[in-house]
Amino acid sequence: MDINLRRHRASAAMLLALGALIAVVGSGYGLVTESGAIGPGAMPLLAGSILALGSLQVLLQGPRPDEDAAVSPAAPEQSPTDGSAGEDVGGSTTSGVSRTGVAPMIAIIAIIVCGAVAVPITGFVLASGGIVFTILAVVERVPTWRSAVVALVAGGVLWLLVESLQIPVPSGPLG
Amino acid sequence: MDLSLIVDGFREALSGQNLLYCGLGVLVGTVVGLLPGLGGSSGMAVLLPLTLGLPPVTAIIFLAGIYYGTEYGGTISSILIMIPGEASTAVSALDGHQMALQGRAGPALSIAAIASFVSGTITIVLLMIAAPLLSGLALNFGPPEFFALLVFALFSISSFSAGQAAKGIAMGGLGLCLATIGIDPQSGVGRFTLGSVELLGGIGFLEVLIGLFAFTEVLKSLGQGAPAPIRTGFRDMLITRKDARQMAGPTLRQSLLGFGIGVIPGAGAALASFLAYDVERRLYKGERKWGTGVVAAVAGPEAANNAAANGGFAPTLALGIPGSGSTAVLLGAFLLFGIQPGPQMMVEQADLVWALFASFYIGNVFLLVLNLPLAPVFASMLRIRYAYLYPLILVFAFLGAYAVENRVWGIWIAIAVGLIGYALVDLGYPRLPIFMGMILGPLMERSFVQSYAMGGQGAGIFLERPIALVLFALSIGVIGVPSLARLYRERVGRGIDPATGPRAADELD
Repeated sequence: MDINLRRHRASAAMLLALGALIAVVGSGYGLVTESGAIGPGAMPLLAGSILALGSLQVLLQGPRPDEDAAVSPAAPEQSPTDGSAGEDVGGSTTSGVSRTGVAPMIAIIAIIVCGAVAVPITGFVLASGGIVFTILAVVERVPTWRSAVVALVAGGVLWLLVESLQIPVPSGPLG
Repeated sequence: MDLSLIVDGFREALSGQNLLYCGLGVLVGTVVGLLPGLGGSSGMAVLLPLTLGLPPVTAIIFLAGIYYGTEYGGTISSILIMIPGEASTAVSALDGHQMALQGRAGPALSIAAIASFVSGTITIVLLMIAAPLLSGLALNFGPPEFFALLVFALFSISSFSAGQAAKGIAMGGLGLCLATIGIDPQSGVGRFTLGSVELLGGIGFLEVLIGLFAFTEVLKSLGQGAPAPIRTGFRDMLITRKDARQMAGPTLRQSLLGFGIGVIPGAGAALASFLAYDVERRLYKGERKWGTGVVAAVAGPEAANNAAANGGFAPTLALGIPGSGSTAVLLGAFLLFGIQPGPQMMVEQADLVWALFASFYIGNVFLLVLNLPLAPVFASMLRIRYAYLYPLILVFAFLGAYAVENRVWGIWIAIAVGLIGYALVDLGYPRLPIFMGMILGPLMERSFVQSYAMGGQGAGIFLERPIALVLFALSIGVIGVPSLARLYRERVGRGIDPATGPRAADELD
């Protein structure tokens, strides 16, 4: 079986199961109250049913060849390279990132999760600076000094925003 | 309408201090609006204490300037980095960001600014003329009509999704499901909380917005490759005559539609922008594929959300009923300064009301004057290599996710939703209906409960309301008609022999 068809069917089946589960569990909260008013289970039943029915139709219809249009926009057209003005800041002139694929994605996810864990300990500003530095230095392989400068600037701007807007973020060692 | 009131209103609004605070409000609002999760009502609420030492008229003018500024600030981040600063700017991110990736960020921002200005101008006039009348009419739009409108909005936008309506509807249902998590406001029962204290508060739509747009987009770029930095010259950053022609119709249409939606208490600019996107998509006849950087897809929703913002002032001023979260903050400011909005306000404090209307217009002008020349400057941000941009996008997005409720939980929600969103996008499921379901779900539930109660604990009331019936019929139509048309085309297509032409179809019958 075509791998796309397998993925399509598996995802639709999972969503169908999820919708059915939500509808069934949700109705357990009660569709109608003792006084006859609409109960807390009505909306979950409706929502779960819509999800389940939509997914069922997806499952039955199968994947369409033109399904990546519209709301999930098509791949962007590249800007014209007419050689006029337009100076690139910061390195490569041919691509947006150093690497693509699963490995950098997993690395980014890991870095962000570690950063989120660190927020209550080191404070938001330091954790954010650490995220920026690690992504640039490790994933994008930007020279260390440049990564450090960008991380410092980012941290500084974040600190200014936090202070000026009085957002009560964890401050960590910065106090 | 007494013209002397208008003249006095402008004279008051154009006084030195009021003019200064209007401009300052617009500038501050734009900066605040750039940050996802901090725009609109949050920004106004944070800055409200700064106004307490000001005269009432000046304070309200300052807050109104912030309100306008945050709307446009949210548009800037939507278009440039695909992170909507506000729910009402989410749809602008779709085609606006595509324009940016094609080196047309400047025109996209300019289109948004001009559409907002034109719709603001038109609707301020409408507000001046018809605020009390419209508010009275809007009161006839009760819970049954509101529920029907929301159903129509959800089905309509979901049915246009990735060429497969079923996926859009499923995602709309997923959004509705997410909206049910937490304490049910009607009964106080905790739903799907899994024993977690954190989930008692539900899942905030702003955190979901940030996860679905910011984080998912970054993962998409890493997985599939990010666009190269733009190379366009300064002149390419300017709006063209073709752009102006293409935006004229959508701007005028959605100014009126958006204002009409905004006048309905509780409807909000987000609903207006969703409906505008859908209407313009149905009317669109251009060559470029919808969703790949269409001017109308930016101009229409931007005009609608600004028009709805102004429309929201009608019930706030005339009836004392806030039209949206931001107008609720404004209403709070009125009360703080001892001003009681309502029908009497229009008579007893007419000078304040007209000064406010005049300041809306001046704020609108400030937005255009400040941001139109800056559009190419903002757009130049995309000259920076994406490898440097996306780490900054992530940390600023997480600041926004944190700041919504001042807890790390928001960041975790954004991360989880971002991962799920990436998987869904990879499988061809659209994101917008998820977000719509989350926004509209609580409104739908509340209006349905109210309608049911109005009908004496029965749903028969919907059969007695013609507007509701029409909207339900339209909801069925937007799903059923395209499906039937597609089935018919497929059937006719199977009957056509490419060699012999259409006659083969008749022979099969």
